[in-house]
Amino acid sequence: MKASCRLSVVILLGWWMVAAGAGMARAQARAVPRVEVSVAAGIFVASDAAVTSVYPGTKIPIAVLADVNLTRYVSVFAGGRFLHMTGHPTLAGSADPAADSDVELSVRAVVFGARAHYRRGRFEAVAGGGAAYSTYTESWAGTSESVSGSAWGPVLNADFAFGLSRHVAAIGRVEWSRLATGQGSLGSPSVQLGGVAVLGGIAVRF
Amino acid sequence: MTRPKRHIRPFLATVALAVLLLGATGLSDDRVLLSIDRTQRVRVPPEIVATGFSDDRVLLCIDRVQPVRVPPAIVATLSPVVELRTVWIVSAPSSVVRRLQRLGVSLRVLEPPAGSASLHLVRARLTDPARELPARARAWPLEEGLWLVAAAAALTPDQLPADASFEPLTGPVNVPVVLETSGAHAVLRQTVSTSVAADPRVQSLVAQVSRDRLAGHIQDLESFQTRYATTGSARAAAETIFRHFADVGVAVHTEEFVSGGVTVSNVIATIPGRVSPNQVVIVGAHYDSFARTVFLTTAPGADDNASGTAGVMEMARILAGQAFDFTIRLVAFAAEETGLNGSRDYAARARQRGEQVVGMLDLDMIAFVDRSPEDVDVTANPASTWLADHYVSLAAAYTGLPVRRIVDASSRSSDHAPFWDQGYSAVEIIEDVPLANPYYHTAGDRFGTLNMDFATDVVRTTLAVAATLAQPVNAPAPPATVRLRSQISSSLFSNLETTFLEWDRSRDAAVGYNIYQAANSHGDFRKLNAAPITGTSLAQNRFFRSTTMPDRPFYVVTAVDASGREGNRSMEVRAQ
Repeated sequence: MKASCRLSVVILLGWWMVAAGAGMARAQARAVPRVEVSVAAGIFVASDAAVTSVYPGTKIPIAVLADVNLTRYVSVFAGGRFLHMTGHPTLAGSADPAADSDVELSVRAVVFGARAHYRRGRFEAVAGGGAAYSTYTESWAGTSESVSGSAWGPVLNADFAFGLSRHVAAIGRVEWSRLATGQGSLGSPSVQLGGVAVLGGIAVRF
Repeated sequence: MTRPKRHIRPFLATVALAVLLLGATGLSDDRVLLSIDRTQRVRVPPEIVATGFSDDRVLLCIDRVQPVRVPPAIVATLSPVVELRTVWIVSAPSSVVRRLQRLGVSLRVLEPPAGSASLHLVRARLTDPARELPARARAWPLEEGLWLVAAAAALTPDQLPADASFEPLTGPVNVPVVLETSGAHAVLRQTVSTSVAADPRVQSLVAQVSRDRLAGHIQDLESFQTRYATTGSARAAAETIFRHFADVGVAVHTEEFVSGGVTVSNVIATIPGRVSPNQVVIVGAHYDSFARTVFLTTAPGADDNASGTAGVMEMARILAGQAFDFTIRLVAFAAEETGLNGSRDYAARARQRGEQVVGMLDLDMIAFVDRSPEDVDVTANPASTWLADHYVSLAAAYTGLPVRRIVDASSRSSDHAPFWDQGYSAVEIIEDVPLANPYYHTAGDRFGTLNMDFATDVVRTTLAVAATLAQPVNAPAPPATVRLRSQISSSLFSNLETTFLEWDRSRDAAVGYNIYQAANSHGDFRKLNAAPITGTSLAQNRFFRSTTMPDRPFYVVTAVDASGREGNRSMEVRAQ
């Protein structure tokens, strides 16, 4: 009896756990988080050859993005992106290493817009667009010389998320932007700071 | 197992799209990707295969002052044929013409008729060019009284109306095309300081100019009856000038060239510089003459231009044996009346041998007075404005001669113009613009019509300018050579120009050097260093935020001796 009772309890508990798990999974599949906040980092490829020429190294942007879901399929988003690069000016004339100097460029962008969501089980695909407002500062190392400016431009992005748990997901993102600065130099008469960023990170869902 | 695959597939597709996008960023903005068949129905010329486009050039008349800013990259493709007061004549690739037209640039496309072999600038009042010019010639009005004429062969004076003058245009000139907007126009009118103290050594030279000797030279030249370029008497006049130069003790040589099928000679006297002999101040005047219809027999040319030639001959007497930092060259040009041929030959040779011409002073018709007091007119192009300003200020300091300064790139009817075309600073020194001498190009242009007091003042002032530019030797001597290297580093939004200035040590005992910088040639130089620099080099950094190269400053170096005395300025240098 004792053994059969124990077996019955185990079976009942097991059934309940399976049933509860299945119910939770169904509930999870149906429930839409109100807010998703993601943090991501990756690589940025500038579309302007002048940027690549002066700053040839790997560019690692850091991005924070918050989506507020308005419906199951539509959200609005806002976020920020920061990118810092160190490079070397292009030279003309008789080169003299003593006159060489490093240059640094910091680009800060605020992005906002709307996105469409497609959810299927643990997978989620998101795509949308909006606008970016960017401020930038370029400075010559060891001098007080710096140039600052700002630019507006369009942004398109797409996320792919895989739910690790109810509140946490791994994300991959591809983002394209175009930021014509209207400024330049002898080496690059008109500079465009946009390009394509491929990012990976974590999203927290509330 | 199948469900996850269905979800991963779009993800993989999107990643592939992203990779494609990344790859696409490698294309630059101004190149187009083409798919072009390996086998073509027509033969593609090799130059198109090599460069991507065909480069037919078109002749343009393009306004100096433009309603729109023309990008420097486009301006750089324009090859200047001649610079005028209100327009440039340039040749340009046909592809550039379409871009200029799209930008709204004010221009005219000039299409010479088939068979046109030569271009001329003709100054004349043409009412019916088809009748007044040779057959098959085509004329375009450029400015008031100024025409561009395309003809099958080189023009000669007898093919043109009596009051016409002309100049053949031989090809690209060594002058950068400058297109202005109305705002930038003011920059070209910038002038230099006009207060100059008289130097007693120059003053003593000026005092030696002899009115009687000038008169004697004019009468000698007039006595040849005609000095028309191709005549034997013009050759005899050249020999007279040569002998005079040799007699007064200056080094003299001739440079021969062919004009009108005859070999003619520029006669050149040289007072070599003691410090920087490659820096050359030129005073020139043409010795040939012309008179309408009778030029082969009677062209006395007393005012035009025995007067200027006499000035050059008299200056040779005074300057012989004098010591200057820079070389002074006195040149009697041949064949000016047949198209500025002597000065064109000299200026081209000077450019070829790398002669650094500080400035060229062209004396042409300096002895006729139509009113009292008479002033002398000094004509410059925009790049030579500093030299005209110099003339004005030195006239005030040495002779008190009234001077009218004119900036007019279209005033090209004398030997200064070929120097402009080679990128040298030059001015024309002439009694009146427009001409007021009623005997101009007639058999009546004789000594009796001239005012020798006025001519003497003009020669004195010109001598003062030449001597001041060449700098009477003074201790401590300036560095013989100043070298300048420049490096420009460009980041995305700013540029850093580093200028490396290096100079030779003074041949005198100098304890240090001062460095001066000015925005304009021979302009208002300002000292860069607080105390004399003991070394022989200086590096200077300059940041600028511009997508075009701003005007680069000029530098000179002076030496300072132990007692603190500062010598003459060195040659002027500027980064190219």
